[in-house]
Amino acid sequence: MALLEMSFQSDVLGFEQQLAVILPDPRALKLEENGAPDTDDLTVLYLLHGYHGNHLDWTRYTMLERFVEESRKKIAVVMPSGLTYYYADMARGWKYFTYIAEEVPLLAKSYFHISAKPENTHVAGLSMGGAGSVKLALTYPERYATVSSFSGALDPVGRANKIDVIAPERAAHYNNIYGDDKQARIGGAEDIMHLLDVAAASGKKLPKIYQACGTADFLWEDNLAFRDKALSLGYDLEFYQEEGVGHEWTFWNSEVKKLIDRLPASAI
Amino acid sequence: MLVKINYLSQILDEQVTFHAILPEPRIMKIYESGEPVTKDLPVLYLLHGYRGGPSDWQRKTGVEQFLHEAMKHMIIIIPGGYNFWYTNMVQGKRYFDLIADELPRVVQSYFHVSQKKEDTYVAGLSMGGYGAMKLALTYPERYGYAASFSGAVDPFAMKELDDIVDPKMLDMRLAMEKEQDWIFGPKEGRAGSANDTMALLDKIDPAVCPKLYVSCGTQDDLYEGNCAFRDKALAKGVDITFYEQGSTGHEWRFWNAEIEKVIKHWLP
Repeated sequence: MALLEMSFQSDVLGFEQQLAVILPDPRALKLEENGAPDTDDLTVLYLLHGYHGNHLDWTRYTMLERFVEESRKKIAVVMPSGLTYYYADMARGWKYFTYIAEEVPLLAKSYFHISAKPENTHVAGLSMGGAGSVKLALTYPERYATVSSFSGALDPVGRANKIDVIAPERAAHYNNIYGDDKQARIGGAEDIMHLLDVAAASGKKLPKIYQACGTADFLWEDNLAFRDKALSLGYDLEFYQEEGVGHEWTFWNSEVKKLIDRLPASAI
Repeated sequence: MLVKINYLSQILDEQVTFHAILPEPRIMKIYESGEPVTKDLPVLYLLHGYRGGPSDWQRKTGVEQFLHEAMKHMIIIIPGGYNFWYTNMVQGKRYFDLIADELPRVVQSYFHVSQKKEDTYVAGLSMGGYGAMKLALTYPERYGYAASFSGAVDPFAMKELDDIVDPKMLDMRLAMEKEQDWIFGPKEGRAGSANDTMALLDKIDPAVCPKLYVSCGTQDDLYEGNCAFRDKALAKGVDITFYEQGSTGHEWRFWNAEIEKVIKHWLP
């Protein structure tokens, strides 16, 4: 596979951004054998990192590139950076949600040969990125075929509203993201548990949800609550749990392999 | 926008790194309609010199800024040629085929790039100027424009070893001689071969020859070779622009000014 690292000026954020992209390599595309370029549109997976991470996390801490190669699937993996901002349009700060929802796909489709069809568009992430992925899929269900959350922080507003107790050193940061009014956060655009209701009531075709979490993860309870609510609303949701597993890359490495292997994409 | 790309080459059977400079999203007017901009762009292949690499142009000139200021919708591709003279080695790998065949196929597969002659440009400095001329004269049907700055365009008419006074230059030259034996084969077979740009110029049909731009400093060791190339091109009736600059040797300051000129004014 080919690994691309891009640096450019983001219009939405107003400063430089980096994206990492994995594309099929010339051998996989049989460029030498065909003696011609392959300009077919690729199935795309938008893959989001967790808190403290950036666009390089998935390539640094998992075997993602090898998994894509071994799957022999024609896919592009696009990895943006959301730092610690919960992929949110911040109350005080920057529009990270608009960035990953609008700008990143627009750039990916403009610069590369990437399918614009919802059935070829997938999103996934771990922890904070699981939250970002689910938020994308529930806000714009018509854009994504599947969403996968690994150890996702699926009740971010619930956590943010307890941050004074859980991690007081992050309180100011969370206030910048979610705003100072704790009540107003509930039922808002960042409230994923609420977005489950909104998407279900929208009448739109809902993306398939895959949700994985370890039973020893500090987000385990939140994941159970999300699962139960989604199932009660009739979502097509596959739940996977692993005994005694915490919040860890070993788990995300095996989960991203499973994701690549089940992703519907044309074979090479 | 700067993109760094790593992939496994089919032709070399080893990892290859190249850089791509693309117009920033705002220059591409990606935001104006909200739709992806997928128009095929003209492409400039830009080759580095001896002892250089794919990051040379980026690090030592303002090439990205020049593209930005020119407001041109154009992609610049900067491959790595190591010390291999963009040549299929007599004993070794096919660095000419890499740049001539594989790289364009990869670039056309990954990005939205025109395959038309009039949209395909090649340029380089020193060894890369030689590479640019060799590509243009070997495959005139593929390139619309080709530029050489301080190029080794008369590659087999280098200074006699006895004429080199500087001991450091002599060491470098001796190492180069050894490499050239592996690359070009024995000295006596080089003149008139497919690697002899002067011989290629002899055979070129001026009606199909790409537009050429050749520049050199008058203090450069390669100045005489450049004059010889110019004279032969003019005698053949090839469309060539020649520029010489006084008090100028083999130096980045000159190449910085030249690439600015070529991007902004010489290329369409």
